[in-house]
Amino acid sequence: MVVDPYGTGGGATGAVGRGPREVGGEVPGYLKVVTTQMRSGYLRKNGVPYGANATMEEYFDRFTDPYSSDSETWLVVTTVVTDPQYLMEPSITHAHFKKIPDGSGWDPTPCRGDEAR
Amino acid sequence: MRFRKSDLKMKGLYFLLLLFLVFPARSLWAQVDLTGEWSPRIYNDGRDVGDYTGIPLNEAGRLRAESFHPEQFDLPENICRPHSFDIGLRVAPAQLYISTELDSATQQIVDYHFHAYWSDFRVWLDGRPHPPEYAAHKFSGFSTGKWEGSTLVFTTDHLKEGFITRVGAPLSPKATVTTRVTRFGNYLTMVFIISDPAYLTEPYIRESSWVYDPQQVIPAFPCEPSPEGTIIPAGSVPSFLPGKNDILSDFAKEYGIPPEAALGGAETTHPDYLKKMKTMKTLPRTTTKHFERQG
Repeated sequence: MVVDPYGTGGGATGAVGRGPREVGGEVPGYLKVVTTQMRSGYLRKNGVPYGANATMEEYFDRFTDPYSSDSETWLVVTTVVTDPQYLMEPSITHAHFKKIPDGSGWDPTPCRGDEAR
Repeated sequence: MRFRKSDLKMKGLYFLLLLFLVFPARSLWAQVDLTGEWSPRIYNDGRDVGDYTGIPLNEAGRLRAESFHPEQFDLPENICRPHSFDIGLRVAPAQLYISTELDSATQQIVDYHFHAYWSDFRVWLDGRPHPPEYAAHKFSGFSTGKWEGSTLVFTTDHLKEGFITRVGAPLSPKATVTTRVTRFGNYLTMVFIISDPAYLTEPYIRESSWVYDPQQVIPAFPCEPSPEGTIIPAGSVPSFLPGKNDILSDFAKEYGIPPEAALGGAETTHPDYLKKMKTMKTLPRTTTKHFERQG
């Protein structure tokens, strides 16, 4: 990942065909990451596609909710996919994650071919 | 060229005066411009009767949700009833116009005014306190806010009883909603964190986004009940008695979800619940159709 504080992509390098190119930067208050050169794939599990020319912008916002009983820490990711091939305008989705203080929720398992994702 | 010390002092004072003129007494962090027209991206979730997945409902909340009948919204008194502000911004055609009101003397921002075609609400930034509990509750609530870095954070209470989803998950008048408004370039994201001691066991969080669109048109909202009445006769209140909701499990059947999991609760919001779900029974899929609200 190449850090670019202004999100312009200037000076960043990426190798075609060797993986997505990401440009990230700490904009005040949040982290912006721009990813290009992705392989085509799916926006949704039901088959809505994105093409190889799609661009993905991600905005990472971490904050603490002072009104929750134990001041929970949250990470909200806003994802914007722009795709001139399959989309008429950007697709915007969100994901949120609550910080688990003791790491007890981290239980990665290897990918299994016989399990649906 | 030589300057006397008094000349330097005067020049310093003039420079400070110039700084005050150029940078008026605005809050240091209020540097992000949220004002203007914002076009919504609609999120068509939470419209299946019996789908309370991801909502940390308590027993009282679940009882209320299960008694909800979709025809309640067709009652004459409910036809023009707005959503509470947060779900309204998420599911309604919420073209937004955001403006500010400035104090004429200090030029400080007194409030942010959020205008959608079905509702208005203000977020007060002037430090005023929230009204006492007995003050009027509204669908728009009462909101005060502050800047946290580049994010406007505001807290809303004094909400009328309403819904978290369009199909009956309830919101009590004791609920508090914390909203975070962040502008990412031409995108505006709001994060809503709903705390409700009456119906939720822990906060419920969700997000919505808008795109900057100075060309959009915000329509009027000339809603009024038809003088001919509605499809539901006056005086009846469609509802289900406890344990008598015969459409409650249709959603779970159609999607192959254990009925217990579809009823929500804090446990169902955690990833580990997937492991438990694999041990739970699903009902035979006898339907491919279940009730979904369209509006």
